[in-house]
Amino acid sequence: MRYGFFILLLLAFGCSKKESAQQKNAVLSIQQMGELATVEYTVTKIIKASDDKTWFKIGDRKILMTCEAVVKAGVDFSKITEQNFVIDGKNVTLTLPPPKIISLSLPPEKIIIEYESISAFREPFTSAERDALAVQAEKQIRNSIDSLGILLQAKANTATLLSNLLHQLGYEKVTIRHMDNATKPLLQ
Amino acid sequence: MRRMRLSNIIMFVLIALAAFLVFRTCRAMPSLQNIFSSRPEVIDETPIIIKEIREIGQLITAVSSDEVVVESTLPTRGSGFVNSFNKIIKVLPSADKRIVLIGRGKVVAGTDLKQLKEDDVSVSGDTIRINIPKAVVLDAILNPSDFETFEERGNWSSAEIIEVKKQARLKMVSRALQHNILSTADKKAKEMLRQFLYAAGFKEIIIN
Repeated sequence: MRYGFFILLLLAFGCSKKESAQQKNAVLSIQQMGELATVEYTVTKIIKASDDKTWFKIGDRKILMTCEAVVKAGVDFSKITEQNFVIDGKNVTLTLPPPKIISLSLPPEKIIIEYESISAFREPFTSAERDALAVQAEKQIRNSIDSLGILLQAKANTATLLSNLLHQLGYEKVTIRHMDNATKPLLQ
Repeated sequence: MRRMRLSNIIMFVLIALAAFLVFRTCRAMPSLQNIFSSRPEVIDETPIIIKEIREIGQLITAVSSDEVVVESTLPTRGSGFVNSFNKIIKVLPSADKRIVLIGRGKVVAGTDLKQLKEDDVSVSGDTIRINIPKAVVLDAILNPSDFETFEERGNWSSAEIIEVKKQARLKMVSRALQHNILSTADKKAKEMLRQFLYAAGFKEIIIN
């Protein structure tokens, strides 16, 4: 009787585990968000690598690839609420949230091998090895995004886009300020 | 004579030990543990060049995160011989090259506000009527770090791999469309604009 109870308990646990595994298989998830992308930078980079550091491998391998990345920046549109607006008749002042990087994309077709040199005793670069090099390039681009000045450009473009929209909505004087610099008007 | 030889040996051992320690500290020699492991290939630091700057106005309202598996098998030079031999007696392993990739990426959907024309907006007092463009797929992002090579057999050229990766992207987009990403994006875009227009002082908001 006691063993029967344990077997039932085990079966129950077994069934519940299966259910969670099935849930894991449904990977796709759709999330709602509200970001306004106002600038897109296309950047290029050369990926250069020499595989000659391993002492027991005879001969070396060299590869030169080019890659293109698309970086988008803008603001979190969902953060623009009533508190960001000051309305005075036909005049409006809008305070924008700080700019942010929205996405970085390195499309596979934009990663091109320009040159490859393989010694007689070496195997050519595999797809996985080429990917590993491209991952390093992706990391370098991600780390250098700030130095591209994209956030400053996003700030300016968001101000222009929303100022034009507010003019279209009937406001005569539109003043755009930025949250991190709220005292200085960005666009008037 | 014997004492001289012994002191020479001790001296030699000490010099060898010191040299080993110096090389190890400078990392000029691999550790004994990793003596037969390959050194990782590290890319050089190269500058990032800005090719183009484009002004956009994309209201991103839905993102689908997905994981897809794609595989491709292509014949090689030896495939013909192996296949015809296997037709007689099926003993030889396939000579085809094969790749299986796992891609974990994102499909981004939203409304292109740059498409908004002047006659799409009409204002009368505190009432606004606005026709917004339909949501579209703005991006399908599958970066190099989003791919995992599960199996790779044979030599795959860059062009062949690009085709397989494009397949992964298409699969991801079609799955997102099947899960109604565009209607989710449309609904959210209307909600976002309603919130913005209400904050901008409008009381009655009609969005089509």
